[in-house]
Amino acid sequence: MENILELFELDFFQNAIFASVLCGIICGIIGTYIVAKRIVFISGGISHASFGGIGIAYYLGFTPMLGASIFAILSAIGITKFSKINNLRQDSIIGIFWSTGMAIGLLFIYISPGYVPNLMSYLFGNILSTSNTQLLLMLGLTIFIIAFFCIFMRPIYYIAFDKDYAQTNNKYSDILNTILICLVALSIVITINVIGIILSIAYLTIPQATANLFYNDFKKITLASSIICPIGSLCGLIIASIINLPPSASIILTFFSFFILAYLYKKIYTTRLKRTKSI
Amino acid sequence: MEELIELRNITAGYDNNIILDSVNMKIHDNDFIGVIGPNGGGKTTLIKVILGIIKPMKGEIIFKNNKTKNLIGYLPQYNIFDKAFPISILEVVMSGLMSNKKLYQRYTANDKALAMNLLNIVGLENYSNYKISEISGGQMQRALLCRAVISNPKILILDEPVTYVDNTFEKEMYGLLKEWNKDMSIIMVSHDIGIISSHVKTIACVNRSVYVHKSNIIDNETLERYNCPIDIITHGRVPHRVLKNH
Repeated sequence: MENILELFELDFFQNAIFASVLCGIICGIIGTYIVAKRIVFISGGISHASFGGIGIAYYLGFTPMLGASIFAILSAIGITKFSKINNLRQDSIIGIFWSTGMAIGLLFIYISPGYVPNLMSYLFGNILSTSNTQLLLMLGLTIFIIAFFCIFMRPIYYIAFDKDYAQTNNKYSDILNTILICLVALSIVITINVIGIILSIAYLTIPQATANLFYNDFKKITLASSIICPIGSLCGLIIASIINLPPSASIILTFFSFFILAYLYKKIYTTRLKRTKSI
Repeated sequence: MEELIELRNITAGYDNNIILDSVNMKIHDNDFIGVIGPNGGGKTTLIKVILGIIKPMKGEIIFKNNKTKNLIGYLPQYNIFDKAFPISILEVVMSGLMSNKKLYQRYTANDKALAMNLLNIVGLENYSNYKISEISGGQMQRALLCRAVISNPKILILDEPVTYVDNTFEKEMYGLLKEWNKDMSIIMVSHDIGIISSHVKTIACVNRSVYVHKSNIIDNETLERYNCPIDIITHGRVPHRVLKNH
């Protein structure tokens, strides 16, 4: 036990704690939009496509996360634009971005001279190496997203529900929609750092599905998952460090156990309610 | 009659596929236009051009009264919705007020009263807190009708409004439309020309081009002349004013 307390005094672990909480808040909010709008698969595509940016950044020698952000935003806008073209199917477009992005990343890392980075940390995350700069960027994004959703909750809600109608009804809905897509892309880049490209979907879907078990209102789901997500994320990280597990796996399995427990609780609770009613 | 919108030489479609070719059309105050035409003829495309969802390839849409652009109420075809979306009936109706409000503004008690009043008119007053996953297609269609008119638009556009509603509400709806038509111009798309022509004032035949027929009585020869091949199912002496007796 003492070892654990010592761990909390270490800088890198403190950073990891803040990262897990901030990432949880960001994804709790943005994930609700993603789940409600049914763009989970698009998010998977964006996450994988951003690997291309990481590869190019390595080759040219700038920060990988900057490369990832640029690729994430471009592929997010690309997928939405190309999906509007009639004879292109959206899931095919996502598949194209998904695989081509990964291929570009692999290619550029291969041709980069010298040191080859540890690919595992991008694919499965490396929360324990979160730097102070990354933490500041995450804090900035968290504040922006909270403010953005508090101020524009109503139009965001309607754009998610019926984009065409929002467009006929308000001239700003196009701009809002584009900002939302960019926020989705940036949130995904944040999760890449924390749990990696392959696992990023977990942050954006499991806590939201858990919240959705209890609430059926967009605002309430947003609020609930922005609480469930950081708690699960923090618990996962602490469990991982206590029993020495990979943090990404531990975080996702914590989310999953939350979901299962919530599901069982709801099931037992509703059957009991029915039984009392029938008596 | 005040002119509200003019479509001048509009060509529109998707990619290289032209659906509407050189369309000219005017929409006036208090019009009640029934839009008919074969499947794929461009009825929905015409509506989407007017709404600004599709940008025309050629030609222009002129809004005579600057305010008109934000004053269109729209009832889309029901089947485009995600039925599992977490939103209540009341929220759906109030979302029609978006054009009247600033992006960050919240709803007032007045907005809510307005929505409840409309829900009362269409018989959904007890369902305001239901989620859209908990109601039937016909009830959803009524809620969407409320959303379309809550902002008190100058023009109301309805795309196949009666597809999911039962006969009782269909009659009620036409009654409501007649009432609302005193204050707003209505454009209604329907595949059922029999029903449409007993309520509308003019008929627009859409099949790549648009012909506006200045009456609600139309016969097969006219339809053929307009290059608008649809079957008129109702014949003879029926209480519709569809066809001349023959």
